[in-house]
Formats: sequence, C-alpha cells, structure tokens
Amino acid sequence: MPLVNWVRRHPDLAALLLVMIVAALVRGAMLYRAPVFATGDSEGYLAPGYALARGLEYDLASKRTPAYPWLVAFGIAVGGEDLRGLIFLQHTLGVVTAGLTFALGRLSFTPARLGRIVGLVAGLLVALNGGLILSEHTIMTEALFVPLIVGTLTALVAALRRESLALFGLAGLLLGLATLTRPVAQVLIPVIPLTILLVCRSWRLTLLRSAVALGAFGLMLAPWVIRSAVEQDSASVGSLGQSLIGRTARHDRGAWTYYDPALNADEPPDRVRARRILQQAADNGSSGKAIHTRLRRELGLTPAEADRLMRNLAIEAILRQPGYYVQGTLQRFVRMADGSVERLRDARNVADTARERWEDEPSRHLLQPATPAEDRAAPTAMLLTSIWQPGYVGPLLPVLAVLGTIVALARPAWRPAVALGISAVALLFISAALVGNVSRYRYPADPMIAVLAVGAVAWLVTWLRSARPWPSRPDRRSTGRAPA
Amino acid sequence: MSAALRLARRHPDAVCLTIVLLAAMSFKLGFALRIAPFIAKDSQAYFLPAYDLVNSGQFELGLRRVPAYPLFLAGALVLLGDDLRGIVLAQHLLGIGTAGLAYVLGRLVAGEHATAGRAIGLVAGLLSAISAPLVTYEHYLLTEALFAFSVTGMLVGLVWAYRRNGLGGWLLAGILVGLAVMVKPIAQAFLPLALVAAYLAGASWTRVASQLRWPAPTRVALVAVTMVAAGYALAIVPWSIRNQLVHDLASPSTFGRTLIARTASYDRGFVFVDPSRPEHDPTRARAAQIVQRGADRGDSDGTIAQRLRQELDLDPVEVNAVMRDLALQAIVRQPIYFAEGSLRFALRIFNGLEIRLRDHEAERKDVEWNERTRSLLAFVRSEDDARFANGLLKLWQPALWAPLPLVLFALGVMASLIPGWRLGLLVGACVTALVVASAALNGPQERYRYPVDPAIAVLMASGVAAVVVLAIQMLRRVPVAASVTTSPLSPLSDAERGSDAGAMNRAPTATDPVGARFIAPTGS
Repeated sequence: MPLVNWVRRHPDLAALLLVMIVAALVRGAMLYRAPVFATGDSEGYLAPGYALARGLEYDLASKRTPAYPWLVAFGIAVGGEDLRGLIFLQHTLGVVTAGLTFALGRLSFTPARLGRIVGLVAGLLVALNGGLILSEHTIMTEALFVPLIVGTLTALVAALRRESLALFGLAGLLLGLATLTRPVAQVLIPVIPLTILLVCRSWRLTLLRSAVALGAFGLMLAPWVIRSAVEQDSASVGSLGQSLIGRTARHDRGAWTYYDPALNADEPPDRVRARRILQQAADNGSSGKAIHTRLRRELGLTPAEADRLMRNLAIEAILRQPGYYVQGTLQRFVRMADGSVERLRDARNVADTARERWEDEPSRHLLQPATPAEDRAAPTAMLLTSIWQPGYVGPLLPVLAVLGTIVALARPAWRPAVALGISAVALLFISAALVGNVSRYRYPADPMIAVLAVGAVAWLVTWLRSARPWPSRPDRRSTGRAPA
Repeated sequence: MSAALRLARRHPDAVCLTIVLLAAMSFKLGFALRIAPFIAKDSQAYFLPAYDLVNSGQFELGLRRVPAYPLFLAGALVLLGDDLRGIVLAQHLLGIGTAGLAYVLGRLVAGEHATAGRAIGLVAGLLSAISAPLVTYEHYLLTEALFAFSVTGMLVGLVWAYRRNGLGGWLLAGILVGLAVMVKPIAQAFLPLALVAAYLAGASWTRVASQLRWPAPTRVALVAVTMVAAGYALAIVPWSIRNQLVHDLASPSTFGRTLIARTASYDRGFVFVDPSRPEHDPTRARAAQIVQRGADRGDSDGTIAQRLRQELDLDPVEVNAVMRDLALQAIVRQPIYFAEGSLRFALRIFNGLEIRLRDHEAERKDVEWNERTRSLLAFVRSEDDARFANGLLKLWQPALWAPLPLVLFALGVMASLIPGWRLGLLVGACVTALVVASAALNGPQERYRYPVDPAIAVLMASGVAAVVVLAIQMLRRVPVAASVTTSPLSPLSDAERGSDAGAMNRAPTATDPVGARFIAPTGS
C-alpha cells in the first residue's frame, strides 16, 4: 500500500523509474552475454581513444570528430582495458536515452496524464529496442550520439514549455556535443529557430532564444573548429568529401562518372589522376577512407586538401546527374525510415571481420573473440535483442510519426513536438543524402519516431472516444506550462 | 547555478545521498571493471549450488550454508549470464547501495539534529563508498557483499522502526534480521538486540529508586517484541522447515564446524581428549581423538569433518552434532581461556589486515575449481589496470590506521550517550555482537568485520561529530554540563524516538540543547 500511495504521489517519477528499470534489466542481461562488437569504422574511434587514455600519440583522422574517442578514452580510463567497461558505460547511456524519451513524451504532449502515457510507452519502446541495444554494444558513435540528440530535443522542448533561457543554452550545448560526435547533427541547427518561431510566434523571442541556443552551440564547437583550422587548414567539423564519396562511390556503385576521357583529358595531370583514382574506387566499391588515404599518398596532399578535392569531384559528379542523385536519396530515405530487423548473428560476423582487419597495433588486443560462455549465451542474447525492433512493423511507426507531427502542428499545445518530427526527417534525409542506406543511421531518430507515433495513437484514441478531435478553441488547460 | 543551489537547499538529503552514490559508483566501478573476480576456498560452496539451480534445477546446499547468497548468485546468473564478472558487478552495485544505506543510517542515528546527521551520514557514506575491504570483498564470490548490504539495511530498519515505533516497522525490522540470518547465520546474534530495542521503545520507564529506573513492560512493548519475533520467523521458518525435511534438523544453520574451526583450527590451546575424564561412549572417544589429532596438526575444520565422516561413518548432521558437542565440551573445560582468546580474536578482527591486491588475486591458486565451471575463470590480466586498482585500494584502509578506527568507534559509542543520539548504542551493540560472535564462534577471520564497516563508519563519524560539537561549545563558552538533560522516563530520549504522527502514545519531543546553536532541526 505505501508503494501505491507513493506512485500516486509521484506518477512521473514512478513512470520514469519503470522505464529506466526495464532498460537497465535488458541491458544488464545483455552485458556479459555477447562479445564486444565492432565494425569497419570502429578502429577510427577506438585507436585514438585508447591512445588518449594511455597518453600515446595519435592523430585523429580528419573525418572523425573527437567526442566519441573522448568517451572511449573515458571508458578505458574508468573501466580499464576490458572493453566491457566501455560497453557498460554505453549501456548506461542507453538507459539514460530511455529515460529521456519518457521525458520527451511527457513534455511534448499535454495534458500531463496523456503526456505521461505517451512518454511511458515511447520510453518502453526505446528501452526494449533491440537495434539500440546492439548499437550500445558496439564500438560506434551511435551509443553517444543517440542520447545526445534525444537530450538536445528534450532540453529544447523543456525550454519551450518553461520559457527558460538556460534550457535553450543547454539544448545548444548538447547539440554542439552531438555535432562533435557526428557532424550530421549540424542539420538540426535550423530546427531550433524554426521550432521557437512555430511555438512562440514572435520574431523577437525567436531571435533572442535562438541566439542563446546557437551561441552555446558555437561555444561548444569553437575549440575544435579552431584546432582544425590551425592543424588541418580547414575550419570545419568532420569532412564532407569522404562522406560524399562514400555515398556516391561506395553505396551507389557504378552509377557515377568521375573520369570521362572525353571531358576531363585537358585538366591538370594531378586532377586527372585524382579522377582516375576515384573512378577506380567507384568501380571497386572502395570506402571513402581508402580513397582518402590513396589520394594523400599518391598525390602528396594534406588530409584537408584530399578532402576538399573529394568533395569538389563528388559535387561535380552529382551536379552532372542531379535527378538520379535526388531519386536515389529519396529511395534511401524511404528505406531507412522503413527500418530493418537487426540480427545478433550479423553483428557478431561483422565484429569478427573487423577484428581480423584491425590495423592499429596498440589497440588490437582490446577486441577479444567470443568466449565459450558467450557462445552458449547467444540464443538468450538473440532473444533479448529481438523482443522489440521498429523494423517488425515496417512503415507503420514512421507513418504514425508523420501523423503525430501533423497533429502537433495543428494543436498549439502540442506544437513543441513538431521539433521531433522535423529532426527525425532531417536526420534521416541528411544521412540518405550524404552517406547512404546504413541501418544504424536511423537509430538517433528512433526515440523521436516512437514518441510521435505513440502521440498519434493517443490522439486517435482520444478522437475515437470523443469524436471531437479538434477543440473549437484552444484548450486553456492544455496550453499552460508543463508541471514540474 | 542558482537553480542548482536552490535545489540543493530544498533537498539537502537527496544531494548528500547523490554525492555518496556517485562517489561509490566511480570508485567501485573503477575497481570492478579492471580486475578478474576473486575466488576463495568457500566460493565454490555457494557458486556450484547456484550454477546447478540455474542449469539443472537442482539446489543442493551444504548443511551449514544458508540459501540467500546462493539464490542471489542464481539470480545474477539468470539475469547477467554465465560470467563471473557479471556477478561481481552485481555485488558492486549492491555495495553502492550499501554506501547509500550508510548515509541513511548516519542520518537517522543523529535523530533530530539534521545537520549533524547529514554530516555523519555523508562521512560514513563516503568512507563506505571508498572502503578497500568492502570493495575487495564485493569482488569475491563470498557472502560478504550481500551480508554488508543486508546488515546495513537491517540496522536502518531497526533505527527507523525505533523512531516510528509502529507495528509495521517492527515487523519489517524482524524480517530484515531474519533475511540477514539467511545470508549468514552469525546474524542470529542480532535477534536479541532487536528484541531488546523493540521492548525498550515501548516500555514505560518506572522509577524504582531516587536515581534508578527500569523499563516496565507495557502492551505496546510486548506487541513490538512479538512483531519482531514474527517477522524473524517469517524469514527463517521456510528454510528451517526445509532443513527439517531434508536433514531432520529444524534450524536455519549449524555451528558445529565453525566451533571446531574456532577451537581446533585457529586455536591450538584447547584439549579435546582429557585422560583424567575418559569418554564412556567409544564413538565419541574416537571422535575426540580425531579432533585432537586435527588440532595438533592444524587441520582445517573441513578436513576434520571429512575424517569424522569417513572414519566414524557418520552423516553430515551427526558429524555436526559431534563437532558441536566436542567443541562446547572443550570450551567448558577452559572458559577463561576461551573468553580471553575470543577477545583477542575480536580485537584482531576489528583492527583488520592490510588489503593487497596480489594476495587476493593469488587466493584462487589454492582453490580446486570444479571442471564443469572452470571455463568461467579465464580472464586476461592487464598490468596497467592492476596498478590502478591497487592505487584505489590505498584510498581508505581502516587497517592501516589501526587503532584509530577502534578509538573513534569507542568515541562514537560514548557520543551515543548524548540524548537524541542514543540509537548509536544499538548500532554499536550490533557491531560488537557481530565481531565478538564471529571471534567466539569461528575465529580471527578479518573479513567477518567488513559487513559492519558501514556501521562502524557511522559511529566513527558520530564520535568525531560529537567532539566537534563539544569543541565548538567550549569555544563559545557554553556550559556543556548544564545543557545535557535526559528524559525523565527513559535513558533513550524522546527525540530519538522521533515525533511523527504515527508514533504510539508518544510524549512530546524533549528539549535537546546539545549543539542547538549550530545544529538545525529536522525539516530544515
């Protein structure tokens, strides 16, 4: 009875605890049942992170941003050389993500009771999401990127509800950190002023609040941008060139022409050579990183120069076939939104391959093959990651999320939730446009899609029950601030 | 910044608790994730039943073992998988909980003196958070981590029940004592203390002479005692019934082997065969000779038990009974020697032993690990990680400061005489009971003290707090003697019992001016 009373007195806290306990239980059960996963890109983060933790010299590749290697270094500094410490940290971030998803749902939808239900269901969907659990078990940026994106949006929605400049600043700081984790987060910069304008309907407030948020964003990014400008002659975060070449040469093989003797024969010899290298790579499906390395080695370019050259040539190729590029991007966008079912076996196979191809000597020993106990536990681990995956329901969740965004746009009290819809679309679209159809790029959008989809279902249920979904005039009770 | 400060001012206990939990988390995880789990000789006796329970559904536990820890291990195996690192991680998470409970205990012990309570809780919580013995034994497959959690939880339950003095509180306290017994049978030593506390909380202090009062029984006191006993029974009866059905022995555990360990293995001075008083029963005479031979050779209790079983063809229950009788007989023959040795052992247990990482890593070499679970012991060792973990162990080791912890503990017990702080006496009595009972019934194993380390930290902190309070009073020239008053009815002040509405027939809170000028009241 005391427990029931407590739950009645603190319903939000109880729901938050429920979500976080479920998330922690599933992740705890997964922690020692599967080996640490890695992909081909993991080396680019683990090697500098390990070097940083051990005080060794290491140059972070120009394409890589520093936040995730910092997390790796922190994980190794705290938990030692057993990467399980880092994975523990990543799963802890996963629990935080589930909690933030609850908060996002609770804050986005009013009244409080409805918001609580939306937050609870969306939080549980994220807590049990097998794809997210697998990504937290992998040495990849998503483990940090997802909580940062969800944190950014939670802070933004909370700031809109409470009209707190500090929270706008926090949203900017978190977005800056997310950009330092994966540069694609920059696509969310316009989302902040746009959402403020939609909710506040005041240019003055929009300017003031956006300035605070984007100022904090700039402050967070400034040291790294300055460092890049000084050391790599490029005042930017990440490298667009490698990504675009990855998108056109690797993920869309054979359709792009970088070297056409009829058109490019008269160009300077170095540029022609670069074109030939790119064409060869496109025909073979080489990675952006391999092409970047080859260009630097064979043409004697600096990393920034090689990246600029790749970017220019890729944009040139895209401009030659803009219709094909747009069509391909849209197809990839739809496929990513549709989702796919992630399998533990695939993650293990990819990790085995990554381990075999690992080049960085100092960090090679960190990745261990599966132990017999982990082999025995594989069925349970598979079960844990297959309890729920958004891919099971195909386009249902994205369609509901679109509906949720439209409803949020129409109802003033729910309008902050529009930020979620725009962000999810922007993240998926930018990934489709700049990189390609990689299933893990959907993960950062999963919590937002879950919140909006559940919000749409809640609206549908309300509509069916009352048969009066659109209030004749704004509901005063539901337009107020969200309770603490 | 100001919002954070406002929050801290509104919820000072939550802030202090968060500090303790964060310190414990960073310290314990920093250790837990670097070092392979520690294995001791007894580890297998707990782990194998748990492993079998998970994998084959069978649960066979030795006669003297109680089920809570194997069941905890089974739960951890089910939840975290067949990996010993997962189990010790779960134990470290319990350790974080123990540090949090130490804060709560410290906070409750100081009663209405909220600021002093917070300071005591914070110090005790932080000492528990970074304690080398606690983190080391959370890394073992041994009962200590779960026992420390359950004992600290039990003490919180007892103190809380005393302050509320409600029936539900005493029932819960009884259950917690019983659960602690289900982790380690030595916790039975807490039962009399819990019963006395329940009685005193409800008793009516009657004057029998000008300066002498005694706690006369009241209905409330008797009901509280009954509730503790009922709660205790609720926790231990199921296992006792199981023991009756399986071993024909209706008790939660046995002390035969541990008494032989105490008298024959750790102490060579006891006589089991006395030619002046020959045994008439030939089996018993033979058993006495076996035990005497084992004692002379310094055999372990396990070896002596095995020899008794093989040479006399006895079942485990009979072996335990014979060992118990022989040990008690030897003790009765030399009671002064037993008392003196027990006190010496108790002091040794209290002062402890320096913790060195290598010693604990090496302990697994002496363990013959069962073949079917041997694969679970394969770990990679990193020298860097070992160095770091060793550095962590140097942060707070009570043994390196001996006898300071004992002095501060004694000071804390004395400080508990201050009205409003007297529940510290209950905590001190529980600590003493466990240490002395361990020394008397088992022997000088330093690890037996570690589960009450959080309680010791609470009393050490309250000792220091009392000194600080008195020092400040003296500096301010406040006459201490005039300020210390006692309740007219009870040696435990009304302030100790709390003033919540749920208290039964409670007199209003007495004035407690010690430190009143600088200690804020509860609810500030």
